[in-house]
Amino acid sequence: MTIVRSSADIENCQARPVTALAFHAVSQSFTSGTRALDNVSLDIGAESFTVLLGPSGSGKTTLLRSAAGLNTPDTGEIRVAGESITGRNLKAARRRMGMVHQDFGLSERLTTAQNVMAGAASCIGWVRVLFQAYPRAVRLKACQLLARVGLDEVQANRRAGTLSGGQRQRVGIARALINDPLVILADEPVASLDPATAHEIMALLREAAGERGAAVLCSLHQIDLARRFADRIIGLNHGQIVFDGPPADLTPGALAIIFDGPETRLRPIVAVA
Amino acid sequence: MTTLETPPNDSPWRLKSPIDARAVFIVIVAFILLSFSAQRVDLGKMAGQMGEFGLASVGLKDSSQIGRGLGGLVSDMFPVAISERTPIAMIEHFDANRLPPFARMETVQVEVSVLDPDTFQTDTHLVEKTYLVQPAGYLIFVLGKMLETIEIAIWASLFAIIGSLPLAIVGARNFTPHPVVYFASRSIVSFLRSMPELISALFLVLAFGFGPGAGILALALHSMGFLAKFYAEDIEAADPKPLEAIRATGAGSFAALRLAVLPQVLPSYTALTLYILDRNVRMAAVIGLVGAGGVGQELKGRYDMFQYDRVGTILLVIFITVLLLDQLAAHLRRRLI
Ligand SMILES: Nc1ncnc2c1ncn2[C@@H]1O[C@H](COP(=O)(O)OP(=O)(O)OP(=O)(O)O)[C@@H](O)[C@H]1O
Ligand SMILES: [Mg+2]
Repeated sequence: MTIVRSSADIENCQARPVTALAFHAVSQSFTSGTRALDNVSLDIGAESFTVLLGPSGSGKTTLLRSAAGLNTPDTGEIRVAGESITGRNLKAARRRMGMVHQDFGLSERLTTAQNVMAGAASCIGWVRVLFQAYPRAVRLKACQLLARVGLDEVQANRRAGTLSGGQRQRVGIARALINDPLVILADEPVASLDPATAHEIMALLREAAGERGAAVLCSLHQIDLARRFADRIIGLNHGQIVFDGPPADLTPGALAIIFDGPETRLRPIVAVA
Repeated sequence: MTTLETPPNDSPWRLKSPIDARAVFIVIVAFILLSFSAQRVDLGKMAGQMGEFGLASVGLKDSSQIGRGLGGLVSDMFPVAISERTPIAMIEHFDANRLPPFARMETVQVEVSVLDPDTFQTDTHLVEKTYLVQPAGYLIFVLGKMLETIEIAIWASLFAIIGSLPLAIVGARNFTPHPVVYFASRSIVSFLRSMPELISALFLVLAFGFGPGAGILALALHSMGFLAKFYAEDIEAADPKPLEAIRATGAGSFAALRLAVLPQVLPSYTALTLYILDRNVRMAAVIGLVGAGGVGQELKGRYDMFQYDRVGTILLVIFITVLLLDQLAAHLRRRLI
């Protein structure tokens, strides 16, 4: 197994590891007293598409953010490709993950292409970062990814702030793919998109990840999309895993368990479908 | 289930009024404090003088103190001094065959009265004096001094930008390496900002001697504090989403700053920097008064020698320069933001 250190070597960033993402007994409480994650253990196999379902406040965002090292759990361990993501491993682990953010997380005043290439900034020297002078390999890859997600040369040179929501999410997906990640974390990637675009983006995420052999862990609120795209569904409620199985097992009874709780008087109507 | 309470038809709900007892109290306290202060600073006398001046200028009074003061000053200043006449006796290595461009020589005969020490009689005889006359000599000299002032401002701003960036980064809560560093940076910044340029220039002139060096340093220190404070606040206020997105790719703080924060804060940085440049030009003229170089030093010298026609030239040059720079800054701001 190769361990990627902070070397400015693109080859290292692209090294393929063996296993995907694992949570081991992860718990996290916030100062507000909320126990957002309660002893979560979960293994995400390589090249899978896992959807996180759960009512609002059940801990989906917290789980995904802790996988990306954006918050540190109180207890438990998170491993990417068998490597714990703590301390000095964090940057290397992050390079093996790509994150698709609900609110896109794009730098609006940079162009589309610059946003995608920014995803590879961890693999290049600081002078190049300063002048945004990315190596040819990175530029080529960014163009290929942009074409893959359905954006053209004109859009590549537009400021990200001028793109539509659906276009921005395509950029977000392209950026998440630029380091050839082992794991893609997506937090409600289609939350603010219309149903047709949401479907398109989910299909794109699934295919693009599949082509590159990346595992996807994606939180969703749309149960129909979860059924359609997931290989595996994880139900989260009050920070605990209450369901784990293929979409076929997602019966109305299972949905009732996942979405049961004091916060779910407004149960999604699709649940009965 | 709660039902929406509807207001009765004839009276509205009790709605918050923008003026409450507290606001009235604050206004009254402020009024009392200001009336005390007005007495301390002789506001009454100033008002009296202004009134007198107003009456005098519409012809209801013969004269006013301000009017006399201003009138005297204006008649002393105009016409402003444009040319320069130097007695050639005072020019070292004078060469009549190699005059500066546009210059001419002028010879005048002056009556000189000399008291004869033996006879105690005053003898009057004619003496020829030759002057070098440069038609725009003084104006050009002042423009040169103004250029020096602008250069002082540019260097000071440049040093301020360079110095304030690291201070701002470690002084921004979301980028500081350690709370102690944050606190140290913020303390330095407050200290720098609390030192008025005129006062630090006064001391720096003592340390560095007369000239632009002290001026550049005095301005740079103050502007560094100003820029670092506002740069840091911009970094703190930047949208954290792009920042987290870049961090989540495994990039370090430098890349996060460059790719997620800088694009967001750049318009505001440009505006702040242009403001500092504009302000430093004006302040550079002022701190010249304490000997820190540039046109201010010239102004102080001429003012002390009662050469008000030259003071007039200097003021005119400063005024026009500031006006032009203001236009330039506005233009740049529109272009860059
Ligand atoms: N930074 C924080 N400080 C305090 N409490 C937090 C913080 N982040 C999350 N929480 C709490 O943790 C719980 C889980 O939040 P989380 O954002 O993970 O839910 P979620 O499942 O993503 O919900 P949604 O579907 O609405 O996005 C919530 O009760 C939330 O209030
Ligand atoms: Mg969430």
